[in-house]
Amino acid sequence: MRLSSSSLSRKAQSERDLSECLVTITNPDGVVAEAYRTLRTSLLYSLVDNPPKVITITSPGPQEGKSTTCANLAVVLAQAGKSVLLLECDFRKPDVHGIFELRNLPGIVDVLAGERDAQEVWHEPMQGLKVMTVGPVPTNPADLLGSERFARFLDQMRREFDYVLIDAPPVQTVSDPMIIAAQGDGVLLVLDAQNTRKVSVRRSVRGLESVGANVLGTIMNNAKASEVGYGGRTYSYTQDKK
Amino acid sequence: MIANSKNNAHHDEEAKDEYVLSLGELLGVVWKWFWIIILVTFLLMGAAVGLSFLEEPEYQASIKILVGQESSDSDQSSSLGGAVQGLQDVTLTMAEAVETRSVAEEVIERLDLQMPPGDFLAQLNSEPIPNTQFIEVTYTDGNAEEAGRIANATGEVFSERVSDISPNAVTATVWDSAATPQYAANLTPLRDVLLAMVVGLMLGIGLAFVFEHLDDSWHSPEEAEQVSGVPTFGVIPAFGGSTSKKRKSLPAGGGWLDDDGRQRLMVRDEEGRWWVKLGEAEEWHYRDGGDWTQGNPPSYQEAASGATTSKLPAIPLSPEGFGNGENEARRATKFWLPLLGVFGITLLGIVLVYWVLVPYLQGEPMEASGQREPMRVEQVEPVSDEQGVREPVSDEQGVREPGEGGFEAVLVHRATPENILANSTYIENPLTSDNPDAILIVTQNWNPGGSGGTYNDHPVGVWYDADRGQWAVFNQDVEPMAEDAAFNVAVK
Repeated sequence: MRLSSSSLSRKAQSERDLSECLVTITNPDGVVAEAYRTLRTSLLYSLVDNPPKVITITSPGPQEGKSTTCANLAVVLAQAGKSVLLLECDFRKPDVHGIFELRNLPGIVDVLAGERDAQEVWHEPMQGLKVMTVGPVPTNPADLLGSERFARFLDQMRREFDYVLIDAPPVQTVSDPMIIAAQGDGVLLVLDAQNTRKVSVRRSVRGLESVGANVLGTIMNNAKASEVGYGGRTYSYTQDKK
Repeated sequence: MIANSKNNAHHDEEAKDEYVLSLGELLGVVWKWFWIIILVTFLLMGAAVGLSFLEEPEYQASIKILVGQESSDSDQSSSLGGAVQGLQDVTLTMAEAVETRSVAEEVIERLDLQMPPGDFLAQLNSEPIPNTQFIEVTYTDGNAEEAGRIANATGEVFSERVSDISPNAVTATVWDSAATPQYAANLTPLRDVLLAMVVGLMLGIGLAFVFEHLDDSWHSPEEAEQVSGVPTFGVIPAFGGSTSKKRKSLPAGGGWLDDDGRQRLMVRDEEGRWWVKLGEAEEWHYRDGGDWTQGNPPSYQEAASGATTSKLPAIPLSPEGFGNGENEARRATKFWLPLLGVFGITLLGIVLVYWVLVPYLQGEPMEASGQREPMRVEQVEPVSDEQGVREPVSDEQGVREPGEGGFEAVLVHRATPENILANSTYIENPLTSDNPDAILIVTQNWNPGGSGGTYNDHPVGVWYDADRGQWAVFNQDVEPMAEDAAFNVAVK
């Protein structure tokens, strides 16, 4: 068999870009992984009274790091010994299965359609972390997400796992995240420190709160060293280590 | 930090609107946009230098004219102080008289210059030197020699005209004739560059604050909390292709991959071996039992050698592995926007500096010559004790249409018991007496000589008394003329 270098390279490249996002696995000693662990700590200990279990992760606009944050947060939570389910609910542009290099089919949609059990569908890329991909993309995602069946499915998952992370589409493009967020326990809003506009963050928070979602807080993604602020010491420390 | 923020959430919301910049933040802004400030400053300085090279040199030649009085009247010498004071006042009038069309026309005719008098006057400037009897007359021309020649001719013409016209023996003597100027008067590169630097610094700092205001990026997690009103749970540093040294290979064997994922990354050769690229060098490995062994896929070498590069599949690594096209585009627009702004504002700055500021600083008259405000006529004091003294004054005085031609004389007329008859006061002057065709323009002069006038609170007019052969100023309301009232009279 002769290898076709062009198709191989194209495919390999897109795979590489996505797999690079899993920085908590590829470089667990790095600054970024440390930042995700800090995020995990905040999540675990700042909301002790009423810990959220079903957490929706979204962002104001597209390409601001939702899926990456979601995947890495899931990984560090699993590394802390929690049982975590990562739901890929971005029906428009699913990225999670690419990040974990999983096969998309079958997925959540099959479960919601009653064709398969959740246990059949999920993947387990690492100990304690289960990932459910989208599956066949439905024509009316909003209806599906707003359905009784989805609510029941979420309840079931909530009982089964310590944390259910939902990777939702961006707030400002579709209504899906509102529907998802309203059913979850809390929302984490990812913002890109370089590209997200302030006004869109305000608008997103207002929009999410208007549907009754509990906006837990924001995650500032893609921050430059100067913006990390208190993380500066860690930064130089790991740079020395290299 | 999170817990704190949560507790203080309400407090923060109150304080959100009262965001005040501290001095440190101000300096921080200046430092952050330092390159803009430097860029604008240097652009402006460069423009100043460039424009000063482009500008044509102009030379200024100046002469000094001394205004005096021939001492034919022996009794005048008794009060020298008064005479000097009077002459200084006359000097003011004389200075205006230099810049008149009649002088211009004569100079043009004498030197056979091919130019309209208006252009000549625009290049001519005459100023009395304060508290002296000197007038400095300056002529500006692109040719140094020409400037000197014209300035000298102007002095001569003016001197002659004054002696022709003046009955009171007021003289105007050219005291200092003009030498050929050595240096161009308008080229002051050092000053221009310094000016550009100051303006550039100001513009740059202004721009820095504009950009800071427009800058939509996030500077701290606290800022995110302020904007969103919810705590910031974490700050994830930028990672991905931009910091390539942090990029590490996937763990060999891909333990975290499931079989599907693994197989999608791998290729299988004829011998059934699985090949995958591993390691930082991204070299091909094949599965050898439980281990990965480096090697080259059998048929792959041919494909690679077909290409000119010896390196393995030229995978174009995007510089921003983690980034994507959309973000790139946004960043690009962000980069171009301030640059465009800089160019626009620089252009504006150049226009501002060269068409407004520099002419203003050089003291060039913004208005065209001949549109000066009527002035100084009140200060003309009679040199003798007679009731009326006429002085040759410039043609602009008190006239709205300067192009209409000159006056024969402007004098200050005083109403005395001798010349008052009922509501009229008669003007005794060779120019007006027995001259029914004369045109007189009369205005009230409240304080002739600068102080202590009489207030003739009546509308006045002029009429010609054919019986007496004299012009008279009269009160139109037929009230008696106030004694010692003074009038500016322009005769044409």
